[in-house]
Amino acid sequence: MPRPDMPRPTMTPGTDPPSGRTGPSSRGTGPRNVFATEAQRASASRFGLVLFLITLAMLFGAVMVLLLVLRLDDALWPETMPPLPWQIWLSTAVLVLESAVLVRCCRAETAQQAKGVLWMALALAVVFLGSQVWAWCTWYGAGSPMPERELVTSGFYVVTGVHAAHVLGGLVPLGMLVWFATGDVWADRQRSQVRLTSWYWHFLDVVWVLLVVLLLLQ
Amino acid sequence: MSTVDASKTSGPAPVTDNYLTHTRGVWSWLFTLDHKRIGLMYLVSVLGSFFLGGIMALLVRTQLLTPEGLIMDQDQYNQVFTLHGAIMVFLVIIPSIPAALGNFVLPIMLGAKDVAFPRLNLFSYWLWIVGALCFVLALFTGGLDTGWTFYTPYSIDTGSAMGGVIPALTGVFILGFASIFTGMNFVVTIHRLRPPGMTWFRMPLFLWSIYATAIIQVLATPVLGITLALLAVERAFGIGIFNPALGGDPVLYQHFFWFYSHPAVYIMILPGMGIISDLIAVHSHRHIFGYSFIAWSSVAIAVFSFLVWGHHMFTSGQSELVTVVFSFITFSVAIPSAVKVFNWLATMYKGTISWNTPMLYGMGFIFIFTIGGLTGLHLGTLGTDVHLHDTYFVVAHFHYVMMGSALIAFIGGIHHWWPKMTGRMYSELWGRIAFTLVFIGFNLTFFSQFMLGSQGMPRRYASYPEDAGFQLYHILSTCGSYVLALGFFITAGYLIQSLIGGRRAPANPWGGRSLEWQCTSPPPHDNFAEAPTVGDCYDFSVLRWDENEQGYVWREDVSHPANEAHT
Repeated sequence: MPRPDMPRPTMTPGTDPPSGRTGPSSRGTGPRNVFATEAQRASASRFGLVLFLITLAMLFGAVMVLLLVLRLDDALWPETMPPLPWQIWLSTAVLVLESAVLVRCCRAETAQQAKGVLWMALALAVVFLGSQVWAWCTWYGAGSPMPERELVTSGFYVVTGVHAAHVLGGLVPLGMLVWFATGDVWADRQRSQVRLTSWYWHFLDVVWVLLVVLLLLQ
Repeated sequence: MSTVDASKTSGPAPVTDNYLTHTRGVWSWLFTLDHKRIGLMYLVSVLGSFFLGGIMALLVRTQLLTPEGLIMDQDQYNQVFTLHGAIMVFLVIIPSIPAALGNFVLPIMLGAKDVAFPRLNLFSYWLWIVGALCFVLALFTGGLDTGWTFYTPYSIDTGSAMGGVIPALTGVFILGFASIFTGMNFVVTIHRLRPPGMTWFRMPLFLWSIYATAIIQVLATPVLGITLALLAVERAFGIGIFNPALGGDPVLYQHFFWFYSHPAVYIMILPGMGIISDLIAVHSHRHIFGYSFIAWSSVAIAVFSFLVWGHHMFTSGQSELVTVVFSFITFSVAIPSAVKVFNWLATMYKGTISWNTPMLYGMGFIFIFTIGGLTGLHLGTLGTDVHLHDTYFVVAHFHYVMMGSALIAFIGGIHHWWPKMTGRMYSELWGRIAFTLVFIGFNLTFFSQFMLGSQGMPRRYASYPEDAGFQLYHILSTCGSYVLALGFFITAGYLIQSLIGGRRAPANPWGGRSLEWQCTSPPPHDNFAEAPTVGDCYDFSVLRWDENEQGYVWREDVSHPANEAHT
């Protein structure tokens, strides 16, 4: 005898109230309470994120190796590198600031405290992307005098583009957190999420600095 | 005294609620977070792709019946073998065991209710579907003829008008992320959701192999992802990273591609080896021999997998020193592989072997994998590889490993867990007949290709000279492929028939001891009401055959670990 709509217990006592992400759906297909406690669940999420960052590290590692291989081959590269657009320094500053702001976000105890800093983090992320687009436009203008060195000009777009794609992806968890904070939802789960989100952004920050160093290599 | 909790091991299955009937309706399947349903959906999707890839294979074989080619022109042939390879690798073999069977079995083997991240699990399934649709799109936008490796300059030659290259690259990129997320999920699940008592070295060996596989998925797949993304960008905008005409380096592409794709070979074979470790032990009713050796050899293979990619490029112009180093490291893969084979043989020695269909596939695997593995040594040897490179010898070798081993293990695994997944038994008679056809067909198809290759028939050719003596082997190979196809169609037939008319499966039809045999067939929605107690999952002496049950139950004179735990 099927029990299509029978609600099942999904939360063990002592865990957080559902925050829009948990709880049984009417079809009975909601997430199971896989972990015994919220702490275990949060710990598993941290582990999962670390694995994901390792994956991304391999991805960016491949990009860096690519850049190095092409760079070290004299035949492929001009003697003097054209100057990088100045906007990358703006981007660097914005991204470092982003990391700092996210450190503040992690300390937020209430939705009220979190809201302001989260909006700032979101705004900075958008400014970073804007600065990157500006840099590409500048590079595009400067790129025209060296048509025979296609690889030099296009390499910059590729490397920064891959990074920008991940920044774009990082807007999603930030946006979700802003949404929670604006809706006055700020429980243990959100505190755990903001920590994970900040790790992701710190990672992007470190990757960006490494990429800039590689791009600067003569 | 021995109030043995019989329901733990047998349960005559008048259970009303199981995961198949728990909720109803299409939506309850498409958006399920239940790992068992997701596994089953993967299974159906993978088998659908297998059918498609198989049809392509039959077309390729039919074309080669005659020297001038029987049914296609050369461009069509290039597209068909490319699609055959790409579909079989990216849509079938890589997701087959981890995503389909792994999803179903892994949490139950751990006594858990689900994987660590059920939403991510569903997300990776849908990513898989989107990736597969990209392949369909590739078919309708002009197809692709680059070979499954997407080698440059074929893949960046916009003059070839192959509009399907970019959709296919996008598809592989997306499939890659489906694979990464599955891997992440499994690593976290195995670390965090093992039940009390299940230490690392008490896990079923299937889990060890899935764990090793997941590590490779997490570490290697992103490199393929970024490489193919760059290739797509390169093709779209003419950037020139891999294009020598624009100053790029095509060999760099090969390095990047094989840095993923050699480990990917182990993504395919390791889970197969895990299944075989369990099949051999369960159906021999004998404790697995050398447990820790098999477990560590999985990890060793995963580690080696990252150090051997250069053996695909012996003739691509890498330095001699690098080539020699890669050759030596390649040989070392033989050690953990051989460790496994010897341990399986030692497990069977003096065992009480039940000649069930899964066991037949297990023994078929050992036979085929041994040939596939040993012929790898010819290709790892520099002198012989120069002769054999890009011939049918290579084709035969990797089909012995990827198809004859990985896929045969997959089919064996389907047979092993079919009663658990569906709650029905299939016809053993037809199972044995189909296995015989598959085994004979496979060896006929691919052993003749070893002969072809050693005599110099290059791979990927749509035609061949009449007087070169190749045709006989091609005819043998094509006939073999038809026998193989017949075997698979019969398999599909009796498996589907079992759903309608098959006998109800007992909880433990084969006498397995890992936890999935302790819940009913099919398992209830939550797998276990409470975390089950764990014992040695290869100690079969505590089980006995029960005639009424038509399955294995706990021996009355042996105390059940659950009872011990309560006292």
